[in-house]
Amino acid sequence: MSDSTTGAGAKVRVAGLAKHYQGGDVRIPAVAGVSLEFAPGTMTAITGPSGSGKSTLLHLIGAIEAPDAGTITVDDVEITSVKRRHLTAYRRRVGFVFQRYHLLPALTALDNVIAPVVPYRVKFDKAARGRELLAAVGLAGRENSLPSQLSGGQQQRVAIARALIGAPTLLLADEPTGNLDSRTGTEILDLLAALRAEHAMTVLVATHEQHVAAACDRLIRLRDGEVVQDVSLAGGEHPEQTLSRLGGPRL
Amino acid sequence: MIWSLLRRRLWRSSALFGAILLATTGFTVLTGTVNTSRLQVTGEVDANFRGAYDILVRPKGARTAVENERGTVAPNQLSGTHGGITMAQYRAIQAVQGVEVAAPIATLGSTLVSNTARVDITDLVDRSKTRQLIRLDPTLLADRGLSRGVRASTYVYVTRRPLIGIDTAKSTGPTTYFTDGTAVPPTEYCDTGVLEVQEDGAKKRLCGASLSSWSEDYAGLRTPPFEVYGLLPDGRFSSDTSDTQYATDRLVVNIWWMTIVGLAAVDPAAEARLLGLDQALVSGRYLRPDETGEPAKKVRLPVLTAALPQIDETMRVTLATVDDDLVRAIPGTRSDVLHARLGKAGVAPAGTRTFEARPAEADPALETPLVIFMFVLRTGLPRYNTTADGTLRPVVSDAAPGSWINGGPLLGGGGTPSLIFDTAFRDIEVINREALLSADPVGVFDPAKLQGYSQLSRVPLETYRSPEAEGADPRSRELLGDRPLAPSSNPAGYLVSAPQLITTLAAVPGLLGAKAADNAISAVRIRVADVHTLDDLTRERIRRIAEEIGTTTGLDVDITVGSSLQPQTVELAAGTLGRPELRLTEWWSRKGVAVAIMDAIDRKSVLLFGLILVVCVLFLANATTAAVRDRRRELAVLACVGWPRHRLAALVTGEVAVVGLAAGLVSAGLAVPLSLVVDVPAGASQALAAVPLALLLAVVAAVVPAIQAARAHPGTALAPLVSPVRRARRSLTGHTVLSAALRNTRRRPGRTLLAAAAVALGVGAFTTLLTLTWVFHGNVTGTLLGDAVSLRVRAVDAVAVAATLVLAVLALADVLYLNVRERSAELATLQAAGWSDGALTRLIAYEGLLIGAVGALVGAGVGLFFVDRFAAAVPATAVAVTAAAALAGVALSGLAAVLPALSVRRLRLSTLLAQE
Repeated sequence: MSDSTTGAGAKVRVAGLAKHYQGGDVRIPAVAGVSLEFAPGTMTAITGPSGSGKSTLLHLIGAIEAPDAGTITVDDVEITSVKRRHLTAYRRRVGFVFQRYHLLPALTALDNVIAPVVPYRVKFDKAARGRELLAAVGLAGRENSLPSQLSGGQQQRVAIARALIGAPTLLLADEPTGNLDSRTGTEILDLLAALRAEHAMTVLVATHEQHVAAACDRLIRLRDGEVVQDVSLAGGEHPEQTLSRLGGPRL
Repeated sequence: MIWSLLRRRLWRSSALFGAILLATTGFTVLTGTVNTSRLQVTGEVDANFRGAYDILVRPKGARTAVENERGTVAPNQLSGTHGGITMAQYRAIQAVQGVEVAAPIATLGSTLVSNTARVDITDLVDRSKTRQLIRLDPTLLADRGLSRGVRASTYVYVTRRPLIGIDTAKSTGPTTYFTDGTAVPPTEYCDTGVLEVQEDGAKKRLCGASLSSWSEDYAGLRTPPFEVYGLLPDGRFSSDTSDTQYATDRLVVNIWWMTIVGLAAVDPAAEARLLGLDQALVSGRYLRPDETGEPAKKVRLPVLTAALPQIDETMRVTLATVDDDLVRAIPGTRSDVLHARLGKAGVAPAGTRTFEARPAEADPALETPLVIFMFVLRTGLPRYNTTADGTLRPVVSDAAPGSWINGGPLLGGGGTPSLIFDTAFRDIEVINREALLSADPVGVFDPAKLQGYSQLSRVPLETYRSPEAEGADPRSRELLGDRPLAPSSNPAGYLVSAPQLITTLAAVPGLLGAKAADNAISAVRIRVADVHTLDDLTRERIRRIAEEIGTTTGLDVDITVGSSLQPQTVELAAGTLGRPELRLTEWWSRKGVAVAIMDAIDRKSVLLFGLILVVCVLFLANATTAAVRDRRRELAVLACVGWPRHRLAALVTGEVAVVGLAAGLVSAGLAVPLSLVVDVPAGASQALAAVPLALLLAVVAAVVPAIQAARAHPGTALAPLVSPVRRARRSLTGHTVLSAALRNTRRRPGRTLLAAAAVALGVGAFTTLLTLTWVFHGNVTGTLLGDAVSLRVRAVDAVAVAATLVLAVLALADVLYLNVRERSAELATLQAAGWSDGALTRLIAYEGLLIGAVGALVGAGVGLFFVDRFAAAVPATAVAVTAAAALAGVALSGLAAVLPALSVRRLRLSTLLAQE
């Protein structure tokens, strides 16, 4: 399962998913009974205001956090019932891109990219693949730069390259452009979209920026942990247009 | 990858490196000091635990109350123990299994030997004068000159006029006949004087200066000797009569005085085995075991005599010439008149001569080389009163020399030992008043040549060594001229000299009679077979032998092996002969010192080793944990991108192992030069042995937090550094920097606890170690052996304390440094939010101080608990030290927190924020 580079990406199904945080005596629901299905190879934007549960949903799907209730099934495997140590194997099939990049500051760009596969024996040449991916994200020649020597956009590109090193079938991007200016953000999204096609991944992007959704096939809006909108976007249609077409509230 | 991580995060790696280096080196040095300390102590003890004998058996009841109470054996006690152990008991002791030598000694008593001061006054004679009178004033000096026994002056009358002696053959009646036929009827105050032929041919008697004798005049002050010498035309001197046949070139006046010497009996064979007495002879031969006296010849005891008298007794003779006016009128003057005139006479001083007491020796004037003694007297032991501070005050007895002088065959008058008039500290009993005893000095021994034994574990050996007592305060030392007080020959004095005459036990029946001789042994000194070191088994064996002797004979048994001399202050009342009151230090044998020292060092070593292990392990764990905690986010990222837990653990392990190995090797390399600097033989091998241990510890300490970091869902660590607030609390102190600091310490209890633990560790370890060391030194000092041991290991212990202090300080600094570094972004955020440098520094300082206070309190508590647990009582100094260490810990915490905070401030804000 780890090296499945063929196919059209992972099929993800979420059913009755719930997660809450305890804040003192107050129980704060982050995700409240969400049921969704993501077709292989699709790119979905998950939007909503701050605190609507976007990041939590991605963390749950990425098995970075455990849900209180509900199931997550990826390619017919119910990961919510998988033992913790097998989750590591699942996580290797998932690429994760964070808003804050989370690069290892002591490692070079190349080392950061190949960091996920360092513990494993893989069929490809790690350094070659790393360089390839860096080139793919437009950072050819910056292999030996330290994160502190790269701009925010460059760091996010490294993070994306890192997310791709394990040839994931599912890419989860949590506010990938949140720390970037809009031009750089657009570039990153275009990159993600291009990579999705190239690498045949299912992509989920959590964002509150409307232009992000433009690159996606589908838009899901969350509020207080619940899905309030779930629309498919026609190719080339601006999400604003779609939304107004559907009569929903403006973003 | 590990290498990159290490290389790029240099400050973190260095902190960890430093911590491991310190822990390893600290461990090596500290265990080295403990080992060294232990080896030095046991070495010192093993080299010195054994005195001349291992067990001392004395008559039942001989052990005094003071000895019982203080676990000591008094010096000089044999002098007052006259018998009490029977021959049967002695044989029973000999039969006990494991007894190598049992050497009996019988203190028989004291007797008198004569000393003669030969005063050559030839040069004082003015040969131009017809008549002259030279006065010799003898004074006996003792107690370093503080006691003066004044004796009657000796008058020497030198005349150039012819002298006519008494015809003793004819002078059998009241009338005195002279050799020229002159007959003089009995005259008051002129019974014995010779005749001097005057310039006009008249013959006048030289009556002397004696008053009638008086029974209480022990010093003979009323009957001063008056010696008459004729100065012949050829310049020679003739005594008393004009018979020039015995005239001499020099005018030598003999002043004799009696000194009192002790007499003891031993078994020559046993004594030879115990002390090598046979090897200590300087002339003559050794005693034969079966040698007895010869009752037919009035008990001629075979004796060894000591080569040195070992008494502090000097005869000082002050010389003077008497006024010519008085001298001119001497011929024909009645002795009572002359006595009165001489008392007021004008004299011209003519110098002084001093004469030391001589060892008992054969009188060459006698045909057979014999020491004559007149009687044997026995002295009791001093009795003590104890003052509040433990000082002993010997009870003063009435000096009643009359009771034993009167009736003594030759005593009275000028022959009386003047020093016996001094204040008495012992009772005197005269035995054997009638017998005229004599001794046959077969050999001379030198006490200095007896088998050498450790000076530190000296046992009472007063048979051969006179006791001494040093001044205990400056005044006493000054009075004694910085010399120890030594016994004179006064048998009633506080100190009594060693016996000068040693005879055989076999000869005792001839001296005391068979019945008394059977019970004559005063003490048996026992050497136990096969004693080499003072291990538990040997101790138990000696104890068992002592117990068996005690139960089979019923005698008082003291185990003296491993005892050491301990100072005992004695306040000696002033003496009537001029010695002021003295405060003295006597050396009493304290029993069981070596065992106590071994026990103390064993206990201390175990405690120290445990303490050091705990300190090093906790320090290492603390530092490593802090270092790994710092990387939680990094580990979380790796976990997010699919690293399994064991790989994360391996990564951390590898990283810590590389740092640990490097630190361990450097530490091993450092051990050699370091051991030279601190004078602790901590070899490189010892340091290398610590490396795997340090590595293992570091890895364990690293893996636990690493796994913890990985076990939590990675998202937790990735969440922004705002911990979930469990409960909204309203701060009582309001929104001040202090309350913020308080909240911060509570907010991350794990980190606070870690730092507080470091402070507690430092304070606790330091106080415990210091107190342990103090208690150890306090426990062992006070005796010669203990002081030597204490002195020996003082340097090593100081190193241990210093090393612990350094370790504690650095452990604290390390943890607090990591603590603040971990929060650098947070601090940068606060700064960005408008906190001033001062406020930021205060915040950090308050946090450090709060943590320090908690840690110091806990550490002080733990330290005092251990001190209380292992020391008999918590000394006030320990409390003071703990308080000081705790305060230092708090101050250090503040400082250790502020310094890295200052360095954080210097970093570029953007860099710090970017790291988040």
